[in-house]
Amino acid sequence: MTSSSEPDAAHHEDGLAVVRFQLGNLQLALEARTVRALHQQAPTADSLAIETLLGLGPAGTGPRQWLRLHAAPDLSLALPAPVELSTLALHTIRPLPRLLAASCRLPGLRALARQEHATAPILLLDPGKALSPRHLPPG
Amino acid sequence: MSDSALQLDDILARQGGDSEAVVNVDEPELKLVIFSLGKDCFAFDGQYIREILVDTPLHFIPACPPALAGVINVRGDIESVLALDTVLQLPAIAEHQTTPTILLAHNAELRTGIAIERVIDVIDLPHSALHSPPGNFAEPLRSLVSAVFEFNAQPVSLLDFNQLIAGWLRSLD
Repeated sequence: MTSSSEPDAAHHEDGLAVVRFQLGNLQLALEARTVRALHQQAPTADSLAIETLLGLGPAGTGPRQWLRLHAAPDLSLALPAPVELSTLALHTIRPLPRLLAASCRLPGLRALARQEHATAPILLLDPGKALSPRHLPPG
Repeated sequence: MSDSALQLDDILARQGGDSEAVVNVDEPELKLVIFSLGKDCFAFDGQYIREILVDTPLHFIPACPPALAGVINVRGDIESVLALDTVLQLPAIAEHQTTPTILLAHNAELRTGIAIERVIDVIDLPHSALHSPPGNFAEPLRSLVSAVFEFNAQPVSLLDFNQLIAGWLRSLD
């Protein structure tokens, strides 16, 4: 993915296009159709760290890449690099187990996906649901 | 002498008749999964336990209450795992952090893993061996223990799985 590239928003026939990244030990992904662009450089516009959005503490200090979301075009979401566009096979995507859905307060958590070569699941997030007015730039 | 032989025949016939007269009464039994949690022993009704999992990696999910220990991958299905020590407000079992023994439990509404310390046995117990729980149990055990019984000279508390899940979900409100 190049600087300021446009993720393919289409759902692949045999899978779901996602933008994927790692945060600490967590594997996270956003549906690619929710993403407007990916930037390699820090934007001049307002930026929000994914850690802040998810309530997971202060932003990390490693390399970053920035997403612009359809849900908030004036906001850049800073993610730990590398950020990759990939496809999740449909049969790997699972709804949240009922007790997890009832109790987890991770903003925007929508589903889990199992990985082929690891037992840890990928957490699928809906950034539009995670964003609240307090995250958005004024105006 | 002949009288004595006849008497013996009578005795033997009577004994044979007695053994045939034994009526086999099948007392209803309950299949129970008995397990330890710290120094205490508990059990679930076996109808709610689908599988016993050992060495299954547990994965942490952030922003969950402490009793939601994480999720596991069971042959491609992802299941939640409840830390039973936390639900029962007992001292924490360190093994929960890595690969605890997990009971894969289910009822009509949901399926979940339940992290325990160690399975002791799976037994069939006659209903008559179950006794009412003592009145001195504190909450939450008072609401969750449906009966007590003895196994290997140790007291075991039978937990009501449906009540456990319903009570925990209510506690989230």
